[in-house]
This record gives sequence, C-alpha cells and structure tokens, in this order.
Amino acid sequence: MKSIEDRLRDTFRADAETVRPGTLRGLPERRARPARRAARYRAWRQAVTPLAAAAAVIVILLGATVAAPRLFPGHSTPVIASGPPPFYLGIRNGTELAVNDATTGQIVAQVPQPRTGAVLWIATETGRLTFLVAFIGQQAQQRCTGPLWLYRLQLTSAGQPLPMTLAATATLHGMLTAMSQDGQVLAIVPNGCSGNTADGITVLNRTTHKSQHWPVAPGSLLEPSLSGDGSLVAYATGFGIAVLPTRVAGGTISGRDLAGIKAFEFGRNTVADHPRLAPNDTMYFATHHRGNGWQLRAYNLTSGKTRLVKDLPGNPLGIVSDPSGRYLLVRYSLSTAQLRRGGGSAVRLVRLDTTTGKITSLAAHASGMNQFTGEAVLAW
Amino acid sequence: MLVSVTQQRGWVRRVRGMRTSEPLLPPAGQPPGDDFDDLVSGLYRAHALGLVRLAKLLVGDQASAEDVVQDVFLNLHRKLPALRDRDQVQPYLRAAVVNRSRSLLRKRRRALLRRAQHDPPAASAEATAMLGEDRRAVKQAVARLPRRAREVLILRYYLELPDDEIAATLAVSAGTVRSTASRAIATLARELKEEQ
Repeated sequence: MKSIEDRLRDTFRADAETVRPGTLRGLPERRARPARRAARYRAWRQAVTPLAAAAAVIVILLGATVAAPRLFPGHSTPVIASGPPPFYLGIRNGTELAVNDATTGQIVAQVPQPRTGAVLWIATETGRLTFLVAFIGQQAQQRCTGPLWLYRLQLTSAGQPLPMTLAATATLHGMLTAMSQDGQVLAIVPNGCSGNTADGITVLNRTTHKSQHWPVAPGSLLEPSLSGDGSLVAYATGFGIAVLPTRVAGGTISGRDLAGIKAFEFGRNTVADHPRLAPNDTMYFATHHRGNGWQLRAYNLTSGKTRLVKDLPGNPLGIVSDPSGRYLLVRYSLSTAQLRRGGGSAVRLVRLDTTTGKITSLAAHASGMNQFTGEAVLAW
Repeated sequence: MLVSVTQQRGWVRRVRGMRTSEPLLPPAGQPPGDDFDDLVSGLYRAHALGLVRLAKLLVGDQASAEDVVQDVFLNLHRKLPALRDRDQVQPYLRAAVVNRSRSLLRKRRRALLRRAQHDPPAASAEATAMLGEDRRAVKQAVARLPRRAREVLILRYYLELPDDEIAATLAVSAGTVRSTASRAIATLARELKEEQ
C-alpha cells in the first residue's frame, strides 16, 4: 500500500493535470497609462501625502481642543473612556475589583471593598455605569453554603466608582453561576463546589422565593447563562444546548425537550459550548467541529434560525454579552502554533461586533473572566 | 526558464547573463515601457500553467484559478520595480498566488454568509472521473483540513518545495511548516484509515 505522502503526490499531480496548457486564457491587456504622468503622480503623492496627513492631524487636534468645551459644556472633567463599547471592564482579581478603561487597559479605579469576602459574580444593572456585585465569604466552604451579599456599584461619567451600597442579601445552597441584571434571579449549581460532578441546575427567584431544578447527567453541565431579565436559562450539556423558561416546573431534561431548540445542526464530532443569552432575543454559542476550529453562532429565539457570526481566532474560554446584545466580549486562548508564530499572551480578550463580525483587541487583561468563578464586568 | 524569458527585445535583451544580484528592471526613474509589458508577457507564458495548476489545487476550480493568476500578473506591473533580481520573481509569483487564493476563499465564505447564491464551483465530471476513487477520498480529506495545512501539503507534495521555501511563501517559520505538515499527515492518515 502506498504511503500517505505518495497518495498526496499522486492526487495533487492528477488534479493539477486536469488544467491543460491549451485551455488557458491569455493575459488580458493592461490598461495603458502614460508612464511619465504616472511617475510624476507618484513623486507628487510621495511629497504631498505626509504633509497632508500632518496638516489633518493638527486641524483635528486644534478643533477638539477649541470646540469641545463649547459643544459639551456639561462635562467639567473629561470622560475617560470613549470610542465604541465597552468603555469599562471591571476585572475580578482574587478578592479585589479593578475598573479598567477598555480601550487603553489602564486601571481607572480600584473599587473599595465594602466588606471582607470574595467577588463572585458581577452583572450589568440598568444603565451603562451601574453594576451589581455579588460577594461571598472568603472561606472555601462559604462558596457554596453561606451568605451572599449583593452590592450596587455605580461609576461616575468619568469612570470613578462611588461607594458601594448594599442591595440585597441571600443564602447560598450551591455555587452561584449566573445572575440576572437586577439580581432577582440566580442560577445555582447545588453541588458545583465538588468538582465536575454537577448534576443539575437550580434557578431561584429571590422575590417569590420559588425555585426550579433541572437534573442533568453528572459532569455534563457547562456554562449556565441567564437572560438579563432572568426569564430564560441556557446551559450546555454533553448532547446539546438547552434554553428553557425559568417559570416552568422543573424536571429531567431529555433529548425531546432539546428538540424544540435544536435549530442548529450538530454533526458528528461537533461540540457546542458557552451559551450566552443576550437581550436581543438571541443566544450566542460556540461550536467546534473536528479540524475546523471554533465558530461563534447566533440562535434567534423568536425565529428559531441560527446563523454563523464569526470564525473565532482561538479556543473560547468565556463569552459575555453587552446589554444591547450587539457586542460580545470573547476571551480565548491561542494554540501553541499560533503563539510560536505571533508571540504575545496566550489568552486574549477581544470585542466582537456581532453585526459586522469585526473583532477588536482590548487592552485590558482578562484573568477574571472565568467559568463558574466570575466574569468581567461589562461597562457600556 | 527565466533566462529564456528575459531574452526579449529592448533593454530586456541586455540583461542576458547578468548576475542574480543585479536589478532585473531598468534603473529608477526610467519608465517601464513596451519592454516591460513584454517581460510580464514572457513571464506569463513561462509560468502561467504551473501557477494555474497550483491555484487550482488551492481554490478548487480552473476558472477561479485562472482569475487568481491573471490578477497576480496584472499586479506584477506594479511590483516588478521592487524585485531586485531574477531569483525573486518565482517565489514572489508563488506567494502572490497563495495570497490571492486565500482572498478568493475568504470572499466565497463572505458570500455564503450573506446567503447569496455563490456556491463554490464544483469539479467537472471529466475532472472527477479522471481522479479515481482513492484520489477523490484523498482530495476530500485534504479539503477538510485547515487552510494552512492544505497550503503546506500542496507546496510540499505538489511543488516539492523544501520547508524553508514553503516557510518563505507562507510567511511562517520553518518549524511551523514542519509541525503543520506533521499534524496534517497524521490527520489524513487517521481519516483515510477510517474511511477504508
């Protein structure tokens, strides 16, 4: 039997030889342009372009300096963050919380801790500059069985944090894995602290004190996510992604329950992960098919249609949505080959515009964006 | 082969026998004229077939492959003044064909995303019949590989280029070429074994 290399040579040669010499088109005529004029134009362009660029920069800087205070008299202090969202990232780093300018990566403020304990989860509350920060006790056993404090954190327009105020308290009976924007609905994995043997998910409404529980196959639960208003819960399991209304009674999730939302075709060896419910009636999730890398897809909850948003540049580690649902923060790791070629950090944080598919690197580091242990604050 | 191409009329005729470090083209400030077009036409006659075959392996069909190669040669008018010697022409053309093919594949993917009816052209019945069953299986397995792996395999096993030339063509390190080829061969071996 021939080796793979010989079979490749044979196949390539046979395929290439289907192009026969007599079948080729000739080289088309190049559009003629007077050579001397072209040379003169090149010289003119080389001389004038740098001068024009410098003049444009000076005019823009002068205009911004002179006109901005007149046009926007209300801002006595400059707004630090600008450009497209996100403007700020609140990064959980151990027990600390730092607010970073998303564009420059600079720390705008270190948020004073209102109490001893660890930041577990952060959700964007209503508005661009208000967040809800969940604290738990610092002891390891308090992560799953202990008090939960929800604090409201507000930033000024200049990105400075105001003192946190206590919004609510609750008692945890499992690991908090997702929170609605107002903190009323919590997604909890009852035995999530005992490693990878999570065998179900509980959704608790703090106002009504009602909870629903959905058992799943032990070890198969991945990345639970709540919609902003807490009305839907989504999670990945070994055999698909479930999206369920939180008001329905609990029960065992079966393949039949998943059939209604399985609009995307999962072929053999396809993995789906990181479901994220966005406010625009869309669930984003990542899929991986053998040999094709990771792809981000959007599932429209209303129409039931799925579209490919973007080929992801690496292995996704965390995905979070902005309050509009248009922008996503994607944290991903690079492969060894990519690192060898490009260097830099193994983990990258980017902003992905789901409308245009444009990816922009964010300067802030992303160590706090971690499954089951907290996510980056989204500031918009 | 390139020497025979440069045996054209005008100033091109004067470069016969030059050292490879000498400029391929007239000195700066001297406008490229008819001789310049003759040189490009000569290069096209000499290299078009090989480059179209390479592009065909990369993009999958002859019509697109010819478009790719024609674009490359039309751009050659602009790029030739930057090429300092004869040895640079063929690597430049090869890299340009690889890059143009990538652009074409990206455009096809964007067209598919916009749900436009631009299916990638299928192979002709004649071409399919010529390939045979084993070759078809190999071709399909290669098509499922990531883009860079496909490029490395085609440059290595069709053009029989050494790793350092493949690395220069793809703008990656030679180590990347070796590791990519090794992984691609392993993947192919596994997939083709499963299919048998």
